[in-house]
Amino acid sequence: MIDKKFQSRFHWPLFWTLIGLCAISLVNLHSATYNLTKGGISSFVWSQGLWIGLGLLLGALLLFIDYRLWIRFSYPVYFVTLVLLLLVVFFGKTVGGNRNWLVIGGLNLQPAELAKISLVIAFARFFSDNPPGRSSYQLIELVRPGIMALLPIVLIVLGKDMGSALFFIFLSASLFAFAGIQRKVVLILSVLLLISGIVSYKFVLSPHQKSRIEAFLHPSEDTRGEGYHLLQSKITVGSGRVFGKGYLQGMHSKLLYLPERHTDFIFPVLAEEWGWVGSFFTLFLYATLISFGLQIASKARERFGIFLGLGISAILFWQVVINLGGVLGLIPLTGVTLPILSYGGSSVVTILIGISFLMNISMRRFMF
Amino acid sequence: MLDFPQEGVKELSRRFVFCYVALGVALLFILLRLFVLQIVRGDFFWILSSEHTVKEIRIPAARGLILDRKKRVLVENRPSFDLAVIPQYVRDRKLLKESLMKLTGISGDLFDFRWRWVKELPPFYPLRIWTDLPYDLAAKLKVMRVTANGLPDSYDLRGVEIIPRPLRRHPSGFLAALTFGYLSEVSPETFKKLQSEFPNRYWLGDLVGSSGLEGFWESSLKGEDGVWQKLVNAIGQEISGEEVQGLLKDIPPRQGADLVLSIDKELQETAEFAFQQKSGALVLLDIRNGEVLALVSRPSFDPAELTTTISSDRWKLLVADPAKIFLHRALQPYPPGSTYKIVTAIAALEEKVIRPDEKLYCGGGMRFGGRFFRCWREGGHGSVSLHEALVQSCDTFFYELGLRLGADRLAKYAHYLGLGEKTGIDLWSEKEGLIPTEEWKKKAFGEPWYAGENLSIAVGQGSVLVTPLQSARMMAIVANGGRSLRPHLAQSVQRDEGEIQAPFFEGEQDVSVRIPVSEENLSLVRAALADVVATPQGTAYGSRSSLVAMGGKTGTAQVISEEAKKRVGGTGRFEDHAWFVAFAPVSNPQIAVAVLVEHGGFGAQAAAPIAKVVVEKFMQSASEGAVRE
Repeated sequence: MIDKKFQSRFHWPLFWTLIGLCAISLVNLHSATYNLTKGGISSFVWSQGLWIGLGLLLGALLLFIDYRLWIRFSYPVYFVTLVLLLLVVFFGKTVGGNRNWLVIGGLNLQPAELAKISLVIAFARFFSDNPPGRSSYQLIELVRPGIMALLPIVLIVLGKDMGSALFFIFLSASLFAFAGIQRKVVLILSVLLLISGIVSYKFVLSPHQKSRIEAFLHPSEDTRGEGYHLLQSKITVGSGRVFGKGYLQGMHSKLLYLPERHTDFIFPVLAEEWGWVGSFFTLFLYATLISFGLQIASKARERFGIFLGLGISAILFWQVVINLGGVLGLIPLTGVTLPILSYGGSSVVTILIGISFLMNISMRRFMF
Repeated sequence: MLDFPQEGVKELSRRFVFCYVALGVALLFILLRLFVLQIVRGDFFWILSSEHTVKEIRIPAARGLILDRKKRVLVENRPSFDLAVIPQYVRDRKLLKESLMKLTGISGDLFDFRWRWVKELPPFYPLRIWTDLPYDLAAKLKVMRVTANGLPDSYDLRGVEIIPRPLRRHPSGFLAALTFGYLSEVSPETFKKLQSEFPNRYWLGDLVGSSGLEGFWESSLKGEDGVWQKLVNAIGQEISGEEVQGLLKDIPPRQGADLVLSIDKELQETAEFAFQQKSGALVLLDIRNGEVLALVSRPSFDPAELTTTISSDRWKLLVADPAKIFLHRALQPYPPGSTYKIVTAIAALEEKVIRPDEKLYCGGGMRFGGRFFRCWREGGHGSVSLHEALVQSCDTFFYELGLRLGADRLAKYAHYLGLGEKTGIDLWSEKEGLIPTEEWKKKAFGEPWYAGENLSIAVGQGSVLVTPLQSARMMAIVANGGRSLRPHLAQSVQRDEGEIQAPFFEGEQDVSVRIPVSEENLSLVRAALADVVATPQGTAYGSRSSLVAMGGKTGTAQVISEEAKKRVGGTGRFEDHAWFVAFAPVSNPQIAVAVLVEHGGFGAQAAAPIAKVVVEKFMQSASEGAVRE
């Protein structure tokens, strides 16, 4: 199975980029949770390490299966994910205002994370099976994938996890755009999206979420809370200056000014201690990772591989953009995690499986 | 899958250019943002973060005032100071506790009690340790904090803040205390609820209206707190400068909206005073629009005692007071006694079970089902018409009407007149009361309705329960020609921008909804009620007024049965409640009033004189053109 030829096609640069990010994740998480333990290594770091190990192992095992086999299981997997999301709506555990955790046999699972991969696989299958009649898709051809995208989004909205819902909207939109849509369809969809956005702002969003958006739009009017966190986040990032304060020296985040230092606000911890240089380096790794993903997707020989590779790159891209945009005050805070760097098993394993798929596509490019 | 011509794939490959561009642009934005934050403004943020901290001082907003219909102040604010601790700045909790104990005499237990919330909250949240600090202590601590570096090492006041906070003041003392209600501190549990409903509007330890108007109109009365940020260095000195000011917030507090009530302060005072030491309730309504002009419930708590934190022992003591000082009696159900005969009379006329000229004989009571139902006049009233029966409050006559009507037909008219249901007044603690029907009894007790019960309920005994507020509304509906209305206290909510109609009454002002009762029958009843006061046979003849003609009905509600009275005696807490409901003036009705005096005995004795005083006061004010401009 794994012969010389196969090994030679292993995408080493992609692998090392990934390992680099994993290392940064553990090192940075140690700093972020340093003061929770009186010295020593916190349980967060240990379990994140465990999840990374598990994710890499799972990813390695998946390499033995030709990714194209997944085309058969794409819809069943998608369906199972929907069931999980439905379970969350009814039996979900609420953490930090978002009801998006499922507890199965003592494990805390976030189906919304796994849904990212299954949705991408399902889309890849659809676009592979149904090429557009002409050069781009017409409205009628997009009804099915539209419903495919909406189902998980609706379930996630019901689970009150607006950050993830927004993420899914961006993810689906980018895949649609790539697949090619007629101009008028784009227009119609944009209008629909705008209307649903207004409606959800009025009726669906909780006051807590509204306050986040308000805080972003009018930071000066926000007396407390959201704007405060954002200000602290900016202070934390900015105070890193060019070279940072040095490892474990980031007193500002240590002083507990930042909430969720190990998940949503993990990046400011890094930016404070490593400065612009460290932030640049980390961003460079992300850019490299996503570029590799795009490169692999663009060299795939059939539509399924192209869309799968693109979808995974899009997952990485949007998570990075939405999370960093939020903590740096470019867009409202939504609670989307930063791939690999944020603490969280479901999130880490999902990303690693995704990258395993990328590797898979790149290795089987010539195996027709 | 593999049959696809390469063109399709090639076509797709070309689109990746856009993806690279998008990736590049997005990352460039983020890098630029980082460049601005870390390099352009890096030094500034570094100053902010290193040994300096942004300190946020919250300036609590005063609540809106509560005013009477002529804008006279009923509830206002006074300044006070709280001693708070911001856990984030505390270096040594034990030392701080000891310092405060030495300097202020605060008990260590209280400190620990307040400190227990620290886990629930972000570290920048000030914990209120002591509310309404005496001025001299507040001043002392302020001075001490400024010279903190000069203090001996045995003191540590880092993290201590003296926070000004406006508190409620009731210039009229006990006046309408139960109607205004009181505030209580936001506990961690309620805080979570408030936070999800109104993000960032409340803080732990804030005062929130928890009863009466303060509770009902909380969201209008509550102001918006201001914020004042300052930059301080490690030893607590303020740093100021151009660059700093640009980033710091300075938002002045915004006082809550004023609540303008329909209550007339003078009428309210007159009414409260008329009760002297008696306990009970009074409701005075404008029959044209449902405005409440006076609302009394006595006895009440002392609002001054509840403006600030109260010890739990004292609180328990107040709650356990046998006088039930937290009970708003105007909203509590009582047996209506003979005042209910108004309902019975209207039902009988409408259902045509009696003609207005028909006479029935009263020989001092009625035998029914092996029991003798007594009339209050032992010798009996002789032969009386409906008019005379109402005037003299003849029980026997109404027993007969009860038999002819039955429970369900009587209940129908009771509901038309707004009994047995909430009136919708802007207070939370309103009770529904009870208008019995055959079905209700089956549900509640699993027993059938007995005909004998029809006699009891026809004269307002048995299981009938109404609130004084409902009784006043019933009287108002009878007086205004059968138009239903919704009693309310708030007339408008006012901010500095001008007057805002209280949202509560949008579409509620409509009093033109007619109940299905003929004006003819209502005027028959009104005429009888006028004679209750105006003629010597009338039960309220003693309370007639030389200033104004009232029409009304007395009532006596039994607290315990006649048999039990014989055993324990009918005095003190077993004495009957006294009722009087009335409208005035007879010729052109404007107001309705209901008075209940707990354990007052006969309605004519205890309740009617109070109504008389209040109605006279109203007429005086009206003639001076004061109530209605």
